[in-house]
Amino acid sequence: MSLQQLFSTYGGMYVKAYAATLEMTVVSFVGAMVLALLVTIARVCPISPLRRLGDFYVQVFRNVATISLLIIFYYAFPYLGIVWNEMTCVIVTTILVAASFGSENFMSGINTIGVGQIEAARSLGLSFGQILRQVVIPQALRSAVLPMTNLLVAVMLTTAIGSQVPLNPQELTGLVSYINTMSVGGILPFAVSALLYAGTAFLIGLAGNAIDKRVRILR
Amino acid sequence: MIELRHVQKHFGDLHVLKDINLKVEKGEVVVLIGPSGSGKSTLCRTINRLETIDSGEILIDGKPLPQEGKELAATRAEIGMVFQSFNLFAHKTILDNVTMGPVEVLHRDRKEAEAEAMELLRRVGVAEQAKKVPAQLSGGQQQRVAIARSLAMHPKAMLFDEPTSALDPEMINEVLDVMVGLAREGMTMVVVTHEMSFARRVSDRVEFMADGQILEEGDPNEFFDHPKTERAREFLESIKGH
Repeated sequence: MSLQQLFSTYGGMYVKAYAATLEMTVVSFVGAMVLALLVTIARVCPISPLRRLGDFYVQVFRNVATISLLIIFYYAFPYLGIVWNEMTCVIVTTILVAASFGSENFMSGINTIGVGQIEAARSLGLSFGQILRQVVIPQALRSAVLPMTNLLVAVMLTTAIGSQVPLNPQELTGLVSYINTMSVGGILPFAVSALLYAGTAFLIGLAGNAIDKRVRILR
Repeated sequence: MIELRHVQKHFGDLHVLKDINLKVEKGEVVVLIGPSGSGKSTLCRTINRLETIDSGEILIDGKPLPQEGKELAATRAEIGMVFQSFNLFAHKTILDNVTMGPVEVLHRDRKEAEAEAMELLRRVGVAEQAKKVPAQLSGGQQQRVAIARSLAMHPKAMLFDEPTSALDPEMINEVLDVMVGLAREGMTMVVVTHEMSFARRVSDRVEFMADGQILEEGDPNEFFDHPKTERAREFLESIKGH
């Protein structure tokens, strides 16, 4: 199959698939960041059961195979009466896993702050919540820009698990399987998807570097 | 104003504070001096509960130091603290470092707080640096900002935990000068330091600590010229030339 044939037959589907990949990437990443922040706050809060719960969360979801989690949500949960559509399953899976890595990124950001600044804030009479908002979170966010950029790329690639459930419209990886089932496409359909993934990752990397340069904290 | 009664503290097996009794009156400047590991920094940090104690009592204005929560935060807001390593907020400008306490804790109007902060920064001689971030300042400048940050809370007493130990020699005096000014204006101060000149010039009393105990206390000139204990004599011998 030539590139021309591929695009004339499947061009429209590629556009839709790329849009689906981007949509799931953005929604998953935003969700993962919010959840990662909550988990991280739990992990540093003064209440020790909450701290342990946060650590436990990270241990579980950092160490689980993403695809098996998706299979549980899509194929097993309906037996429990919980039925989510395909896209929801992909997004929830990606959020849960990415949040554990995101929390680790935030934790290493927090560890760079140093106990001294926190003691200084306590000495001024700031409460735990104020110290988080004023001192810890702003610095953790800024020093997490580069690792979170990597995580965003990883989230995009993770949405390829959507190929394992009947998504409609399909995302980039699922579309390739579809094309190769419908017609003998050879390596070309893979190459097109790979190029779209890699190009997007490249742009994400540029954006991440630019943001990091602007917000980086001088030490 | 500050009173410690029979304060005991252990770090594991190490007995770091042994039955400490100390009274600091309003307007007094008390210098804690002693070899490293003697417990003087720990003692200083117990006064605003950055270190907890095992037993004994700490009274601020006659009231027991609260253990936690809002009451502890309110008491900390009234006691300034200056650290060896400055501990300025790295992501905030110098001005924002100084206004954070007044705005967040005292709920002061930001404009007013900024005006007062600029006044304080002028007083410690770093007003031109207001828009910079801490890493762009020298150590001496950072420490003066840290003092201004504490002063912005209108503290009734200030704790200094080795404020000049991390500074290059040529920057020590610019920080000491600010502290001398404060002492002369009547600020109640507890200062952990090895700076004999500071102790002699402005302190009312020197407390000599070794091995977690206060071994000797008294008039600074008397102490430096005629130490009573062998331990103090040895210590003063060892820091001569500083």
